[in-house]
Amino acid sequence: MKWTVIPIAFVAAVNAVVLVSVAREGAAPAAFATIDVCRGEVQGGGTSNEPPDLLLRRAADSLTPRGLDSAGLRALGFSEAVIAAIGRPRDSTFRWPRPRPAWVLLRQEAKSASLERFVVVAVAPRRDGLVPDSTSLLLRGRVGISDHPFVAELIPSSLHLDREQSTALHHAAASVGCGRVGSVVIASGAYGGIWVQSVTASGSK
Amino acid sequence: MPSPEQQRAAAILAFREEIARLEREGVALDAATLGRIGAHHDAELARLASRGDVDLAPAAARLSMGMRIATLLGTIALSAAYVLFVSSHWGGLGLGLQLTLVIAPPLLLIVLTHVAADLERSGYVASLLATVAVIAFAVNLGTLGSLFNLPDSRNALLAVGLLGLLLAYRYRLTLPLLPGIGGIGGWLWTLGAVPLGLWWRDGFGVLEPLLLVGVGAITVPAWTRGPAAFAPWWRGTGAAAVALSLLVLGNNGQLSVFTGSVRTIAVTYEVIGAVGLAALVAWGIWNDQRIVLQIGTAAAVLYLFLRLVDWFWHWVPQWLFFLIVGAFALAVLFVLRRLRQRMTVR
Repeated sequence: MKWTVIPIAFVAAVNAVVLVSVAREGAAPAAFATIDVCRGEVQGGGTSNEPPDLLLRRAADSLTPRGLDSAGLRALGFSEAVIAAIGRPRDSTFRWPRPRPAWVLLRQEAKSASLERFVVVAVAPRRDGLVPDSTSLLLRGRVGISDHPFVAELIPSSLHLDREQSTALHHAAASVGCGRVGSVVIASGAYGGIWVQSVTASGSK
Repeated sequence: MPSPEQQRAAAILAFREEIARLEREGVALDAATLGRIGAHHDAELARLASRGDVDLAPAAARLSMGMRIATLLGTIALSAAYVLFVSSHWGGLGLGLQLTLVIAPPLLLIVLTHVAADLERSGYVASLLATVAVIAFAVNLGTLGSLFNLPDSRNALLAVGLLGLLLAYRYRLTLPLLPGIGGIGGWLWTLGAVPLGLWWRDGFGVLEPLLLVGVGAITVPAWTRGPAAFAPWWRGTGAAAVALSLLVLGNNGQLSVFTGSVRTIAVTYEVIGAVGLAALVAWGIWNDQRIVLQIGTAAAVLYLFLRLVDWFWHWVPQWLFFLIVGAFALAVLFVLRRLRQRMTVR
């Protein structure tokens, strides 16, 4: 009997650990950021087989984010030889290293330029080096170097929408008939969590 | 892989067949002794049959093979049905229902595995349910991650692997052992990313940790207790991991933990691969480990073919290249034949 209970207890315990840590984050959000949402960023949901998600789309790098200079790259763990090779001629045997994990601070780009896309404003090896405010998001990522340093991946690359949030944004996308379907409040937790707190669809009061 | 019970039953049946042949050929045998042996074997066969899934006739063995295939297909179909059902209804469900839908199935399937293991002694249904439970648990963790925007984690592999091993060892089921070995092995493999300062997923791009995991898996039966039928699976997956990492590293030095000239790393691993694969084959022969021997031999032949391509493809006419490959194949056959003869004499 004991051996039968162990697998059940194990599955229950793993789920409990995940749910308790999520609840602890949700109980005390550390920051809120309001962002505009475009139709193309709302994925799945409704009758789709895909889960409803808000895609975090990045604009092409237009400036070098804070933390991707030589000192920042060194702090991320890249070697001196690799940093020295950036922007210089290299011999044929040279190879760029694998991307390294980092924390990434994103801000929505000026609305007049490329609507609703995010630019990377800062990168750091630890979360406490970056503080999100009412206009920015902080999440994990991977930084790579290939001729120049860049953010190779955001983790997660999209945020889950619950049924109501997804329905509101889909409904707005159908009725508004334009690119921007509403705004979304994204909460950041004290321990690195991130989630969609609420949505305001265009046309709703 | 036949169970020890099946191997014992097969040995008894082969013994009886040989005795019948000897009698037909006129060899005089002591009837009293044969009678005692026959009675003992009858009792032994009855005991084996009562303990589980033992085939006592060729027709039963063929049916068992069909049952194994049906078990595998059933596992795949049930897992696919569960995943597709969840994904097709996901968007219309509230959080409570979503959580119930992902957390309840593995728990329910574990209970059903227990019931099936009690009621159906062959273990086919329990094996199917236990494996689907492991897959449902993987879906459970993956879905929680996506519901709450959690960063993906190597620890999910550890959790899934542990559940697979718990169910496999508790109910002596081979099928859930495979995701168990895969999960634990994958978790250990990605630990190589820690000293390198990489994101855990990038650990899959470095093959030396896989090599070490493979060596570790081969040794598991020597220092753990468990059903004898599990040992070939540990050794087989371990040998496959060793062979795969050596073959790939010999062809692509970029997947090594070491920095420096990719060509130098690849050439070094060509040498290590030759020695390592030969050692794997030799270990399989001397320890009578058929699965290790088969995987090692297949990898060694593939290794030889890749080296021949490296060395000759660009330098000789294509007809000559294939002639060289054929000559190597004959040489391998000759060596293996000599080895077999020596073992037969021994």
